[in-house]
Amino acid sequence: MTGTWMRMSARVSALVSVVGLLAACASVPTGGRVTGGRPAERTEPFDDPYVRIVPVPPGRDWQPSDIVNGFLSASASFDDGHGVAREYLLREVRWWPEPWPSVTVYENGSLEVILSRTEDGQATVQVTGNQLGIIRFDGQYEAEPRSVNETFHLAKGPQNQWRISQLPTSLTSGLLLSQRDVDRAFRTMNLYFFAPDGQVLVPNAIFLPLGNRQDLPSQIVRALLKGPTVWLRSAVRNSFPPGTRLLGDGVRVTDGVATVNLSREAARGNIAGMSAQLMWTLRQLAEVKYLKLEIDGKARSPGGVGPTQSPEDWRANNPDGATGGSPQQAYLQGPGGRLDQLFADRPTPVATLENGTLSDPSISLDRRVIAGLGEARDRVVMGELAISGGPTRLRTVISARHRGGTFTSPSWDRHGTMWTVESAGGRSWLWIKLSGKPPVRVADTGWGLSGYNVRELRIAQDGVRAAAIVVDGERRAQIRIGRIERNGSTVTAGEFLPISSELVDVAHLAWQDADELAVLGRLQRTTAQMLPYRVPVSGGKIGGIGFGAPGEIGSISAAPNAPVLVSAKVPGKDSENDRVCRLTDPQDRLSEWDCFVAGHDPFYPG
Amino acid sequence: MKAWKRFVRRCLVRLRRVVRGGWRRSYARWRRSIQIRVVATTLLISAIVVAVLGVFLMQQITKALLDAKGKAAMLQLDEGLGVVQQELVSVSPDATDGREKLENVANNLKARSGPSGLYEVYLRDTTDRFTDGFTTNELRQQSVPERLRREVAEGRAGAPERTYGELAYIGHEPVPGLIVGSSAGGFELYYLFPLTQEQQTLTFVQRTLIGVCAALVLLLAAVAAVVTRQVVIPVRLAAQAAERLAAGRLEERMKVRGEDDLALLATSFNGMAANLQEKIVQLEELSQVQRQFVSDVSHELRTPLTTIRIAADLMYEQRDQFEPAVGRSAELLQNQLERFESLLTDLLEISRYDAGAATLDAESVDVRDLVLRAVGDTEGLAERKGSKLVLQLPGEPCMAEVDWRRVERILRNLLVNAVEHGEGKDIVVIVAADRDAVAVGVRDHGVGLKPGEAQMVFDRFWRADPARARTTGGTGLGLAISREDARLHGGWLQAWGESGAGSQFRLSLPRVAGAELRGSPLPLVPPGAELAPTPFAHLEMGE
Repeated sequence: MTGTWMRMSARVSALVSVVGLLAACASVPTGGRVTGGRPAERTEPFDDPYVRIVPVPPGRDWQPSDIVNGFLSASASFDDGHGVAREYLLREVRWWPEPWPSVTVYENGSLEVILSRTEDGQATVQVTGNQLGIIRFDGQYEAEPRSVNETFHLAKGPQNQWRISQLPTSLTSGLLLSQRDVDRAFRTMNLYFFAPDGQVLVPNAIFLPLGNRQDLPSQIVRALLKGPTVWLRSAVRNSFPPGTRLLGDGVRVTDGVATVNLSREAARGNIAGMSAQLMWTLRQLAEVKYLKLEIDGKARSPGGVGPTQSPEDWRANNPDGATGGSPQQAYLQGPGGRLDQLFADRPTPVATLENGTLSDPSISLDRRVIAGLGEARDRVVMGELAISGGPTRLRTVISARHRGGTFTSPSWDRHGTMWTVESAGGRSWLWIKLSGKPPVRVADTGWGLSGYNVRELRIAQDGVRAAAIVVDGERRAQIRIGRIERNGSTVTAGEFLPISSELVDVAHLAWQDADELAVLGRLQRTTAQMLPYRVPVSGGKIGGIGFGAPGEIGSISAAPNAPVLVSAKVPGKDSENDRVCRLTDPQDRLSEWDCFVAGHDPFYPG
Repeated sequence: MKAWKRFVRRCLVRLRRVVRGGWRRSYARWRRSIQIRVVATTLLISAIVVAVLGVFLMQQITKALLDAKGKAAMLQLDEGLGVVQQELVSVSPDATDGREKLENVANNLKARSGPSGLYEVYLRDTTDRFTDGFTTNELRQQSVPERLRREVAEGRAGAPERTYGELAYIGHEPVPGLIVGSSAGGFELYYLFPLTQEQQTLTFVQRTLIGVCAALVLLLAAVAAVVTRQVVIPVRLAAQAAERLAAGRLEERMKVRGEDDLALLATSFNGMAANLQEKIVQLEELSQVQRQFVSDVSHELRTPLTTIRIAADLMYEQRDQFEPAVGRSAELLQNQLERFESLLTDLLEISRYDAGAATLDAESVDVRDLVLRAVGDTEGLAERKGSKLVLQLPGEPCMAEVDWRRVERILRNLLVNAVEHGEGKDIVVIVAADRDAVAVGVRDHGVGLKPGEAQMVFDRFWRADPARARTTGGTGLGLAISREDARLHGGWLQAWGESGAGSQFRLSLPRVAGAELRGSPLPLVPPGAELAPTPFAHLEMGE
C-alpha cells in the first residue's frame, strides 16, 4: 500500500511538473506565418452607434417653466413609451405620442419658455420659437419655417407639485422637438414602392422614431405595410394588398436572413413585387443580407428566385434606373460647338453642334438627344446626336410664350420625356415633350408651382419625383420635391414639398442618387459664395461636399455612381477660364477638390 | 387512496432494502478488495486536490482577465476625460447650447466605440436640470449603480472609480459589465464595458478545465488501478496457492516472474512449500514403514506363537502333573498367551484399517437380532459380574445395510466394556431407529468417565486408570477398532460419561450403507442425566 502510494505520488508530481513546464512555455506568439482573414461578418445590428438622451422625472418643487422645460426635454426620449415625460402630466391628461407622432421641429436653441400667468394653483406657460418644419403622422417631413407659439396650462397636482394639466392642441398626439432632438431620436429610412409602370422602385423617405434597434426591422416593415406617405400615395403603386399585417413577433433576423411572415391577405398580392419592396426596404439595415417571405407561416417565393432572396435578385428595380450600377461619363462643351465626353479624365470629342455652344445643355438618358437653351434662355433647342460624328442640327422646339420668360435647363426622365419650366414674373408654366411628339404645356391645375418662379427642375431617375428650386416673392430660393402622376396621357406634377429650411439660397441642383441631391447653395445670407451641399430628399440633415471650395463655383452636376462635378474659376494663373473639379476621393465627402480638366458646365445624362 | 399509500410504502421499503443491500454489498467489496480501496481513495483525494487547483486556477484567470479589462477601461476613461476636459470644461460655459456640446461630445465618444460595441458611454452634465445626460445605443442609465455615482460625485475630480454591475438595456437582457466613471468640472463620464466576451472566455476556460480535471482524476484512478492490480494479483495468486497447499495439494507452486519483491515472495513461498512437502512425504513414508513394521511383526509373531501355543496347551493340559507352582505358571502362560493372541489379532485388524485395507461386506439385517446375539454372548460374563442386561428394543424390525460381523463385534465390545466397568449394576441396551438411521445405546451405571475422557476412550491403548494392571481387561484396542468399524459404515460411535453416574456409548448407523448420517435417533446423554452439566454435548456436533 505504502509502495503504491509512493509510486503514485511520484507519478502525480511528475505530471504536475510537466504541466508546470508546459504552462511556463505558454505565451503569445511573436512570429509565424501570414494568414489571410475574412472580413468579420457583421451579424450584430450595432452598425451605427447612436446616442440617446436620458430623461429626468420632474424634481421636487419645480416651477411651472421648469416643468415645461423638463417635459420638452423628456419628450425627446422615446424610451418606455415616453414614460418619463408622462410624469410631467396630470394623470387625466391624454397624450398619444406613440407610435406615430406628429412632430413640430423647431430650430436649435430658438425656443423660449415664458411663464405668462400664475394664479391660485393655475399657471400658463408660453413657448415660442422658430419652427423649421413638421414630421407628419406618416413620417413625411415637410419644411415649413414659421414661428412656434404654444401655450401650456399647468395645475397643482398631488403633493402640491406643478404638473401640466392641458397640452396645446397641436401636441395632444405630437411632440415639440428641436432639430437636434429629431436627428437624435429619429431615423430616416426609405420605404420602397413601385413607380406606376412597375419597373423601378421609388424611395419614400420617412422619419421613424428611434426605438429599440432590435425592433427596427419589424418597425420598418410595418411602416412599409402601412403604405406610402400621403404625399406620394397617388404617384406610386404598392404591391401589398390593403390589410396585410406582419404576423408573429415581427421580422426575425438570423444569420443575415430576415424572415417576414405576412398575414393571409398578402396571398392576393404580387409575390415578386412584395419581395422586391421588402428586399429593398430591409437591405438598408446592415444585418439583413437575405430575405425569406412567408405568408401565413408558409414560405413563398416568386418564380425564378429561391426561397432565400438576395438583393441581387431585385437589382432590376433599382431606383437609380437599370443603369444605376454602371458608372456614367459626363459631357462637356468644347469650343466651336464641340461636344466632348470625359473618358478617362480626358475630353474625347463625340459630336459637333451646328449652332455652336448651348447654355444649360442636357442629354437624354439614352444619350441620343441633346437639348439646351438659347443664349437668352428664352427658347429650348433640341437635336438628335449624329452618330456618324457629323454636325448635329439643332432646332428650336419651345419658345417663351410670356414676356421675359426664361426656361429652366431641360431635364429628362427615363421614358425619354423632356421637362422644362418657363418662368416669368412670379409665375411659371411646365412644358413637357414626349419622345417624338410636339411639346405640350401642362395645365396650371397639373402644375403645383405655377405661382412661383422656378429656377431649376430636375426629374429623378425613377420618373416619379422631381426636385425644383423655387423662388418665392421675397426672392428666397428653396428646394422642393414634387411628385409626378401620369393618368393616361395627362401628366400632373404637384404638391411640391419643401425639404430643407437650412439653405437660404440655392443656385443649382442635381440628383446624386435616389435619396440625395447635390446642391449648390448658401447656408447663411451673409456668405456670398455658393458651396456644394448634399441634401437628403427625406428632409434630414444636410452636409457639405468637399473640403471648402476650389474657387468660385458655377455649376454642379451629379449622377448615380458617378463623382460630383463642379465647374469653378480656380484662382491662379488661369483664373479667367473655368475648370472641372471633382473630389479626390469620391467616397470621402470631405476630401479635397481636384480640378483635373479645363472646361465649364459639365453635365451627366438626365 | 389507501392502496396507493400502501403501494408507496411498499416501494419505499423495497427501495430501502435495495439501497441497504447495495450498500452492504459495496461495503463488503470495499472491505474485501485492496484495489477498490486504493482506487476509491485515489479518486477522492485527487478529486479534492484537482478541485482546489481548478478553483484556484479559475480565480487567477478571472482576475487576470478582469485586470486587463480594468486597465484598458481606465485608459479609455482617461482618454474620454481628456476629450471632456478639452471640449466641455476648458471652454467658457455657454448656457444656451450646453446640451448641444454635451451631445457632440457624447457623439464623439460613441464614435470611438466602433462597430463591435466594445463599450457604452454615459455622459452627464450635473448642472443640467432637465436631462440626465446621454447614453449610447440601448443602454439604460440605471446601469450605472448608485454607489458608483455617489463615489464619483464625492470623489476628487479626475479620480477614476470602478465597479462591476449589470448593464441594463432597452429591449434585451442585461449583461454583466465593468463600469468605470470619473468626473471633470461638473461633468460625469462613465464607460460601461459589457463582459459578455470575458464571460464567454471564462465559460470556455471553465469547461476546458472541468474536462481536463475530470480526465486527470480518471487518469489517476486508472493509474492507481493498474498499479494496485500489479501488486494485488500476485498476492491473490499466493493466497490461492496457499489455500490449495492447505487443501493437501502439496505439489502446488507459484510462478516466479522477474526479480522484484513479488518474485521474492513467490520464491520464498515455493521454498516453504517444497520443504513442507518434503517433510510431509518423509513423515508419511515413516508412518507407512511403521505400520508395515507392525503388520509384519504381527504376522511374523504368529508362527512362533502357534508353536508356543501348542506347547503351552500341552503344558496346560498336564498341569496337574506338575508341581503346583509350575502348574500355576502354566495356567498363567495359557492366560497371557490368549491375551497375546487377541492382542495380535487386534493389532492385525487395526493395521488393516491403517493400511486402508478394511472392506465393508454389507447386507440388510435386523439390528435387533445383532443386539440379541451380542447380549447372548455376554450374558454369562454379566452374570459372573452380577450385572443384569436390560434390553429396550422397539417392536418393529430395525433393518439396516451393515456388515453384521463388524457391528456384532462393536456391540460385543461395548457390552463387555459395560459389564467390566458396570460394577455389578444394571446395563441398559437401547435400540432406536428413524427414517435414516439406527442407533444402539449401551448404558452402564459404573464409575463413569472423567471430563475429557469421553474422547480419549477411543484412543489406542488408553486406560482409564493407568495404574491398573495391563493384565486384566481387554487389549486396549477394542474401542479404537470399534470406532474404525463404525466409521467404515459411515456411522458414529460416541461416548458420554460422568464420574459416578456411569456412561453411555452410542452407535449410530445409516440405514443405507455409505449414506451420510445427519443425526441419531438416540440422544447421547441418557434422559436421566440431563440435569447434570453436559460439557461434552458438543461432541455430537463435533463428529
